[in-house]
Amino acid sequence: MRSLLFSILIALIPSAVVYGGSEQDFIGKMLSHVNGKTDTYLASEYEHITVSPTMIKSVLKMIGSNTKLMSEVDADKQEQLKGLLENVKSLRILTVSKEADKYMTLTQKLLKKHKRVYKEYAVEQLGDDKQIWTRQSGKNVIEIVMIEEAPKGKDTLQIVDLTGSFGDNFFNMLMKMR
Amino acid sequence: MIDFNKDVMPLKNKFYRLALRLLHNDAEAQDITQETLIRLWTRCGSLASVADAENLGLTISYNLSRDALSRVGRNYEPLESIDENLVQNNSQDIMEMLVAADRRTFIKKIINNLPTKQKTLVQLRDIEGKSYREIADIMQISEEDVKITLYRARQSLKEVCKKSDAYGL
Amino acid sequence: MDCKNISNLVERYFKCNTSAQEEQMLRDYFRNEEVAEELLAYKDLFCGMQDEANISLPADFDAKVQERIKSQKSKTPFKARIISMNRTLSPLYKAVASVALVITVGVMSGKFWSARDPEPVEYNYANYHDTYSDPEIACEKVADVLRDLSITLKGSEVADTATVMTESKMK
Repeated sequence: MRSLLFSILIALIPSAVVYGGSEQDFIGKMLSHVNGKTDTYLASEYEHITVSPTMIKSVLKMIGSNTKLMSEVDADKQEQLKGLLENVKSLRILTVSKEADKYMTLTQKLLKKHKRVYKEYAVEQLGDDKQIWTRQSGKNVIEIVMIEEAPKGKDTLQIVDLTGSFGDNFFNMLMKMR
Repeated sequence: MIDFNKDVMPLKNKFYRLALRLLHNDAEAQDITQETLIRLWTRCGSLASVADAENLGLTISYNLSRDALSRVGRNYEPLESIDENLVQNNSQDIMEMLVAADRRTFIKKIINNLPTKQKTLVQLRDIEGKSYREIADIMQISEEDVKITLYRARQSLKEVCKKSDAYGL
Repeated sequence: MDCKNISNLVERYFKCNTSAQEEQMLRDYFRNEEVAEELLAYKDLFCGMQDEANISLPADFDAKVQERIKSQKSKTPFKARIISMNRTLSPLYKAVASVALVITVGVMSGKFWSARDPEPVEYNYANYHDTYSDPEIACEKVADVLRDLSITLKGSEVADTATVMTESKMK
C-alpha cells in the first residue's frame, strides 16, 4: 500500500518540474508567502522595489550613450558598472520597517525550506547582521541574496536579491569595484 | 569493494577532528563520528574506493555537525581542558609538552573562533590536506567559494599571528 | 632551506596560491628547521596545525562502534520476521506498485528530460513590475547595491580579523 502511494507521489513530481519558467526569486517567494497571509503581514510594514530585465537593458543603453560626455575617471567607473550590469538580469529589494523579526523568521524558514537551492556564500557572519546566500546552476551563480539586519536602526530588515549570471569574471570585477 | 574494518575504520580520526572543530565538544564529536561510521558501514558495498569513503565520511560528519549547531537552544562549550590524547610524541619532556600545549591551545582557539565555514576550510585544507575540488564536494560549494573563503580565513590568521608577535604573546 | 624561498612560499600561502605539497613543505620547515627571524611570527601557526592533525579518538572508541554494528546486524532478521507476517495480498500490491512505478518513472523521465534545457532555471520575469520608470534612478539603485555587495565581500577580512583578535585576546 505504502509503495503504491509512493509511486503515485513520484508521478506527481514531473508535473512540478515541467512548469519551469515560473521560478520565483527569493523575494518573490517571500512576497507570495506574505501576500497569502494578509492578516499577519501588512503592506505598510515593508517597501518593495523591482528593477526588471527590461529596465536593466534600458540602463545599459543609457550608460552606453553617456560615456562619451564624461571625464576619464567617471567614464572608467561607468565602464566598470557596465561590465557588471551585463551579468545582471534583475534586482529586487525588500525593506522592512516594522516587525522585522517576523520577516526574519520567514526568511530563515524559506532558506531552510529551499536549502537544496540556496547556499551560504563567503561572508558568513559579518558581525552577525549580514548574510549572503547564493543559488547556483551549473558553474555559475544565478542568484545572490543579501540579508541585512537592522540596516536602518532596530526592527528593520533589508533583503537584496539579484538574478543573472555571475561567474568568476563577475566576482573579479566586483572585488575591483571602487 | 572495500572492507569496513580494514579501510574505513582507520579514517575515523579525520571525521572526529572535523566534528570536534565545529562543535567544540568531545562527547558530541564522538557521537557524530560513530554515526558517520555506521552510515559508511551500511553503504560499504557501494563505495568504489577508500578516497570515496573518506570524502563521503567527511561530508556526513560536516552535515551532522552543522545540523547539531543549528539546533535551537544550543550552548557552546569551549574545550577548555587540554586533552590527553592529543600530542602523541613519546619522547617529550614535560617542559616541551607544556610549551606545545600552550601553542596548541592558542592555535586551536584562534581557528575555533573563525566562522563555521572558514574553520571547516582550514580544517579540511591545512589540517587534513584535502584538495580544493574535494573540499568543494564535501561542503557542497563551488571551488571559487572555497578559495575566496579560505583566503579570508588565512588572512585573519595572518593578522592574528602578526599582532600577537608584536605583543610578544 | 633557502630563506627567501620560504618567505615567498609563506606569502603565497596566505594568498592561497600554494599546492598541498608546498603547504606540507612549509609545515615541515617550521617544525624542523631553524626559522628565520622575520618568519617567527608564523611558527606557532604552522606547528600548531601539524599538532592539530595528530588529534585522535580514545582507545575505547572502536569497541563502541563494533557494538553498534552488532546491534545493526541483529535488527535485520527482525525485519524479515515482520515481512513474513504480511497477508497473501501483499505480493499482489507489490506487483501493482512495481508496474505503476515503472510506468511512472518512464513518463517522468520522458517529461523531465524533455523539459530540461541548458538553462533549467527560468525566472518569472514577465511578472516583474518596475518600480522606476527613469533608467537614471534605476541605475543609481543598482550601482548602490553592487557597491554595497563589493564592500561587504571585501570588508569581511577586516571585520573577521578584528573579531578573531578580540575574542582570542579575551580568552
